Amino acid sequence: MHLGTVIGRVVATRKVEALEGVKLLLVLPEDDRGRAKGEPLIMTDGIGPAGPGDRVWWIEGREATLALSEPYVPVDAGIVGIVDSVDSVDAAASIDAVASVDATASVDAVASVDAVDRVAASDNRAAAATVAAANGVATAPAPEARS
Amino acid sequence: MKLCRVIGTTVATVKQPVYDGRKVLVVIPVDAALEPSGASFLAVDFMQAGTGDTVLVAQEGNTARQMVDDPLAPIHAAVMGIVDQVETPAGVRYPPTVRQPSASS
Repeated sequence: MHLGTVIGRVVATRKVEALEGVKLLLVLPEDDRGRAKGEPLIMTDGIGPAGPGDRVWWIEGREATLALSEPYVPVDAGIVGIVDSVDSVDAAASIDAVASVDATASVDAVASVDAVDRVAASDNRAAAATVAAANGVATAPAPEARS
Repeated sequence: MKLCRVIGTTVATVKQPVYDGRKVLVVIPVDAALEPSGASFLAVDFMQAGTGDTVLVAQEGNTARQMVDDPLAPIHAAVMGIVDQVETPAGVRYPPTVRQPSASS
């Protein structure tokens, strides 16, 4: 499925019999920001009221035919909805924002956890040495504590 | 299926009945490094995905029609999954909105 804008109508007198009575519109494929992607395509209108200026949903392939009342029309692209609004963020900007926040937060979190671990470990070693000294147990780093 | 990122939503009042009550998302393809590449397109949501999610998108009509259980529904692209991680020879990558496993665990 894609977005596009109807930019015109197409009329053909001589055409495949199955296309008789089918409304053909000229549609410019667009991305979410309204930037053209590719060349204009001729599409069938599977919902009826679409006309020039309308922003639409369209689909390609077999499904274009399924939007029509007659399911065996040989078409390759068709309109399936008229768009009221598109709400989208800029892809690159949103990723940068999310990624930088996450990366900074996670690095900070890891760093602070490591720091706490190291502090706790050194506290434990100091406490162990103190206890050992108080109990009169000889430990390598504390001979002067006994004298 | 394609790796894509959800970057928005669309609203339409006049539409084919199969789209009633369904969310149509704006997605943009991403490469193996999860960076956007290419032009955005639309896909029907079947996974309660939202903006920022990295998703699996099938662009094939029969797949989408199976999702709505209607062999004649005019529907083509479908969001089929939400990506947790991508492993390549370059390493494991996590989508920006996914909480990464902590370094200590």
